[in-house]
Amino acid sequence: MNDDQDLLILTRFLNRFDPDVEGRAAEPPPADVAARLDRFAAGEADAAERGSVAGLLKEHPEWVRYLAGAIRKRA
Amino acid sequence: MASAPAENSFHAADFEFAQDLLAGEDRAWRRFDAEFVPAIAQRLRGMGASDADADEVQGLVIERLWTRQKLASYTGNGPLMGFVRTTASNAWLEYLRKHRREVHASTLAGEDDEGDAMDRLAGEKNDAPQESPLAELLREALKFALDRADAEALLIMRLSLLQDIKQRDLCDLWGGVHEGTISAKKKQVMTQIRDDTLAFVAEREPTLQITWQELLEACGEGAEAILGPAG
Repeated sequence: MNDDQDLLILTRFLNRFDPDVEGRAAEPPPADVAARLDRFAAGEADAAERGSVAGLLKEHPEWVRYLAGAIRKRA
Repeated sequence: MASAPAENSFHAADFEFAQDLLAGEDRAWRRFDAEFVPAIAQRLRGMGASDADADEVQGLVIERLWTRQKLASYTGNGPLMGFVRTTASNAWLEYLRKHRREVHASTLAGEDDEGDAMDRLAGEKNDAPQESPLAELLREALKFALDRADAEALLIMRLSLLQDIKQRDLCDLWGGVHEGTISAKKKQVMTQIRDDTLAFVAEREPTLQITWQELLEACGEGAEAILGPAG
């Protein structure tokens, strides 16, 4: 067992109660949030902005998927 | 991406064994007595049950699995042993809470004969009887731990593990840090989640002695026992 598997198990467990935990919601973030996430995905966020975005996504894990998609597009 | 944990694979032999148990086959029940009953007792004693309590709860577990057909909800999505041990953990927590309610009710009845102690107890959320008290406890504990987790480290974990973002891309996003820094953040947040989850459980249920591995088993291969089959 490793940390990755541990988190996967816990996330799947929580996902049985709340499907948004893994960021699977289809609803995209509002335009202003999407712009911030796009900047983050482009590597343009400084330390303060990274902290701010991380805090935002902690409150809204359903938007993590959007960020991941933006990162993949630029990678 | 990490490989999927074992609880997702179908355990055909265990599933067939469970069907044999449900069919009441003697040979299957002899095997259950030899292999599973000691494991139930071991789990209960490990979680703080006295010998007498373990005997009583063990009977409740078998009654639940068999008479109440809990075993019928086992789909083979994980080892049967995890399902049975998690059923035992859930029954032990239910037993602890029932015992606490009875002590509390008798105490209240002694303190105030005019009121109806049972009516007042019915309004107490934490001690209200639940079908799956272990599932609710673990859910609350994990949400508490995630709320306390470092936001950046948690985001790194989610992007890396759940969204399959490569470690070197994460390094770029975090200002060109070394991969070791990203790995350390992931390690740090998992340690924090583990410690906070166990601390929450210990504070909420001081008499429930559950280890991290037992908790993972309940959330993973034993989840069907406390949540039912996944939809």
